Amino acid sequence: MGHIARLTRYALKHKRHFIGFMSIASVATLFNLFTPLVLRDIVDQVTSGANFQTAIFSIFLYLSLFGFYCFFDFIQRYLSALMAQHVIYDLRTELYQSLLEKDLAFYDRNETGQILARVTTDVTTMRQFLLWGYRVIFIGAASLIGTYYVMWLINVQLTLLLLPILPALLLIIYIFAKKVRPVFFSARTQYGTLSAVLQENIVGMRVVQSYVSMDRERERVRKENERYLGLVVDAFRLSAFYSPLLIAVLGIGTGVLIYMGGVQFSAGVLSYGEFVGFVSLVGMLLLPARFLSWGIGLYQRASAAAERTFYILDAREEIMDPEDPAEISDIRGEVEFKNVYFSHGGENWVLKDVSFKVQPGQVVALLGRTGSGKTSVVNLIPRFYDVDSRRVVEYNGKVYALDNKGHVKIDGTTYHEHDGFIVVNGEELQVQDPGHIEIDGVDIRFYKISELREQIGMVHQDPFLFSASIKENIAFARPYATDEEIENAARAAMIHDFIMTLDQGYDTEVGERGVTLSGGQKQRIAIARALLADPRILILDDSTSSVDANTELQIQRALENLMRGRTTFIITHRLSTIRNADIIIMMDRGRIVEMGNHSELIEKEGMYASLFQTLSRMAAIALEETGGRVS
Amino acid sequence: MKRILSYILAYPRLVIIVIIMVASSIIFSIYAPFVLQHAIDTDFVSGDLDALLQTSLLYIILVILVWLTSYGQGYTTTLMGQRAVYTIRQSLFEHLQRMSQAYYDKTSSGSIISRLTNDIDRMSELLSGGLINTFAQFFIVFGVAVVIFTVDFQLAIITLLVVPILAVATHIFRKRAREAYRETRKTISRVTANFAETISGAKVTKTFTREKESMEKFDELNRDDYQANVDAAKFASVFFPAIRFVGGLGVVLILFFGAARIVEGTLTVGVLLFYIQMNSLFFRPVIILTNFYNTVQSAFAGAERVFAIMDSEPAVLDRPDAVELKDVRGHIRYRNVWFAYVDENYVLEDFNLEIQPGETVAIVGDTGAGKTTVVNLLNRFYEVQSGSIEIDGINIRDVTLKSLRANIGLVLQDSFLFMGTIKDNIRYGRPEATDNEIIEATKVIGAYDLIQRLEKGFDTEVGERGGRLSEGERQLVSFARALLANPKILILDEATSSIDIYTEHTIQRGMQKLLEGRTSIVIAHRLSTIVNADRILVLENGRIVESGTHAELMAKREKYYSLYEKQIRPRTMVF
Repeated sequence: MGHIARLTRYALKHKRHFIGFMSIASVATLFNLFTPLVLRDIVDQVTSGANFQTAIFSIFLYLSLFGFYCFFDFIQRYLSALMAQHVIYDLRTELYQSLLEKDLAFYDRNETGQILARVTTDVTTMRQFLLWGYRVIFIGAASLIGTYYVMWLINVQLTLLLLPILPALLLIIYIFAKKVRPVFFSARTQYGTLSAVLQENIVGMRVVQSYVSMDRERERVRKENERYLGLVVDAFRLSAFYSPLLIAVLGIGTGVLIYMGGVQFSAGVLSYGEFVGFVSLVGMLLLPARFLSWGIGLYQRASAAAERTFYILDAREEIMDPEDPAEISDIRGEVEFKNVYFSHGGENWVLKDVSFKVQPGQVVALLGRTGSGKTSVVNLIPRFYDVDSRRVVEYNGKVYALDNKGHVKIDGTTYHEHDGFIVVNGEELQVQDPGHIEIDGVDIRFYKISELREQIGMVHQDPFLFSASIKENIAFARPYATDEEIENAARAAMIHDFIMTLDQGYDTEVGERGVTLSGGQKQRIAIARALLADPRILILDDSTSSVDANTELQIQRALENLMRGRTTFIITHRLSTIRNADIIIMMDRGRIVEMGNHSELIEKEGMYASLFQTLSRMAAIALEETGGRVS
Repeated sequence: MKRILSYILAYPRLVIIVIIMVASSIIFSIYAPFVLQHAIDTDFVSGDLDALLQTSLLYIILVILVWLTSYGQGYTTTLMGQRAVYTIRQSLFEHLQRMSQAYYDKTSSGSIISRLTNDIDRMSELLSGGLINTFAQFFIVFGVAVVIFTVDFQLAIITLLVVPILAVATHIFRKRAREAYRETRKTISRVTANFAETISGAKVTKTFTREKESMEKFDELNRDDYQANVDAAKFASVFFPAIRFVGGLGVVLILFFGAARIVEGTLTVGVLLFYIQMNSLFFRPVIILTNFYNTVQSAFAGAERVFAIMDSEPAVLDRPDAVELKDVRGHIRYRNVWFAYVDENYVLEDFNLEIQPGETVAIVGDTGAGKTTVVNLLNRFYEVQSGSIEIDGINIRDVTLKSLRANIGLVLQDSFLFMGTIKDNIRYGRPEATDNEIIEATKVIGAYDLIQRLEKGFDTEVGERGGRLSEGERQLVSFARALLANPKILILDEATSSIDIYTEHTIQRGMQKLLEGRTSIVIAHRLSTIVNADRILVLENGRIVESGTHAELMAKREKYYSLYEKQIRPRTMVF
């Protein structure tokens, strides 16, 4: 109920259309209901021997009533389409807005396809309801009642006799909603499963064939296919049973009417016209019954769809702008992490007690295997995520968060905080206050998010380019940059020469519809993009490189141009970059295990030293036969 | 058409039941109005209540029979149609399984999937319901048209008058509406594409704070879609009221002529009511019939594409006298092999290669040199055009595909995983493997710690195509999968970029274990693999231009040396 009520609030924002179509629908229904009365008059006039002229007048009345009904029916359909379209427009705008505002944690939690379905397919389902749902339910209910009222006007006794039709119709409608439609729904779901299995097989056919598992896959497909067959047949069987039952109930009503009408006719209580009117009225019950059943189906589907879509609007915004943001016009680029803890979903601790300080213009190399937390470190700086704001304790290398009452559950037991400590098995554990990140000495949460991000540039190994021209992609951060500025950026990024070899130069379209670029080319366009944005702080993800030596050299030069004079965080395996970095941070399972410059860490003879040895050994093999060229 | 029908005719008993159901349902529904007319004109007038009771009971029985026969018709047509659809889908899939790799290389997987889903669904519309329903409607129109002439000629003509108007109006409307809706499909797909891009590019948009511009661009598309839908709504809204008005006009005509005749005394009330009821019987059939052409056209288009696949012969098949390949030692020999993907563009020309059992051969070369072709021919993803490939001296064309591929393991660059758990995926090549064997395999590969560290360990769901694992994790799982299958011959299409240096360090050992005791062909990219190979082959335009160990070839300072400088060394990422 709640979801449709919420959808209705959107509809009521367009009161003129909403009230307009509802009232016109009522008028149309009225016109339609009175046609059987006129039919009665016509038949009575011609059978009672009155002159044909009166009948002709009634026939014209019938025609005009019917004409008006059709006309108003058209108007209400059109108005409700307008209303539906307005609401969809509003809803999409709001959804889009909310997608733009979501933090990255939202995109991590929800798969792209899922989000997309919620803002497209589900919205279409709601549109169906807006378009048809309100009016078929309204017209259905009004017509059912209205038809009985008109019957009552003609003959009370027959009306009472035919009253049981009503609960019978409602029962069928109920069965449809509770019993039949769920089966159709499961058939749909099963179809999804079947498609997924088929798709997987087609895409992975090489693997299937090389592991000679055709028979097994065939059986898997057969199983899903059979299940689908069963459900579809079930669904249609049920629907074939109950759907014509509506007509049958009305037919039985007509049968009863024939007998009782005949009895009354012989007694002289019922006229020909009244009888014909009644037959026509009973027939008229079919449409509203179908309307109601259909409307309820629309309601069920739209309600589920609305729940999924509103989820996106409601997903709580964790990262918000401060009310009174700090000035950020001219930052120097000093970055400090102070006791930073960070978790995904509140439980998976990705960063544990990370602290370091970087002076403006320094280069920081982050090292560590996949999952060590180095990517999380750089994602926290532009506030794609926020530092965990709970107080924590560490016990046996694990992190536990305190709730706001100072309670914490460790291995199933709840402990309480006393004066900043928690005692577990006689061991005093200090409670850590929430950590934070500072830029130029100010907590980054005090800056306006958009202004903060303008100061930070990011270049990925495999950057995302939009389906637009190269020029638009480079000028993404500064759409009004001059052609000269764009070209200068491209030159510094070592990509200008390549762009000029393309037929349409800077106007060449990239992305889905445009040319396909190699990873190295995309990376350099992204470097140009960052150069033009001119941020104070730079984040470079350069961990996996597989380009030829020439490209490699160009990328390296482009990166050097980009890094000049900026505070830089770089994730890389490039030995020279690591060696020249001002600070090397070695991470493992969410913690900083070693930190310092190259010579300091070599002296330490720890993890970095052994990794450096491996790298050097590989370098030695690589360089051995080539005359020992070292760059 | 014949061929589509053949899938239905496979169930002759069902077909007969369907026909009986359809026919009786039509007869019963047309007969009912007659009974009503009889009641009014005979029993009402005579006042014979017993006769009236009989008539009304007959009416009720007819109504119930109509219900039961419609149920029977609906059920049996669905059963027949959906069984046909099931069979078509299953046989198309089984056929696709036998298609060679050549087919999958030149056909996009998206279009194949579309054959298996959308196109078959189109046929399904026709097969289950569409066809039978249309014939039923046709018979109703025909039947009603005949029956009404038996009662009153003049009113029958008048009743029929509306049918052509109805048909023409529907036809015209359909055409205009289709055009209007085509526009809305265009606008909605643009909206969807923009949504998709926004979701995938969320991070970039945020980095460069371009929210406002994105919003403006989206608003434009959203507005276009609004306008297109409102335009289309104009047509859609007018259709049903207009059709109903035509029907009402028919009733008015019947009333006008009928009323005059009743006054004259040449017509009874019952007959008048009969024609009014008959008028309404025309609606549905006409609407359905005018749509029949589209349903058929769409189904035929689908069927054509589906049958085209079924009719294409798999390029690689077992010979009738093929034998099982057993007890493989792992000796491989390419003899004068010629191969071209298209026409005469030979990728391999007179290719010769001998590999000893247990030897590890690394193939290096530029993209397009023919590296992948060499291994694709070995497990008969493609068939050589001339020459032969032998395993232990047996021509691979003389053995069954099944036994051949069972002896050759394949580890792919993109390491494709199936939906299911990590455990399921590791035992993919050997379903009967025990949990201990699985754990053992991952330990050998060096993936055990990594998997243990995942929240659900070996029971972690990998998601669609392994999407929930990182590239490196997927690669390790596929190593373990290959190790567990324990083939005598191993083909490794090496992943260049998916393993970071930390994992590389872990994997080097695991890879050695995987290659141990097997004949291995590695399409190599990584320095460590190449250096450890027994022999390196340098491929250029489908020819082996150099062969030897790393040290030998480096000393030569020729092809391998320059390839190494250009490609291999940069990949080690040590500068």
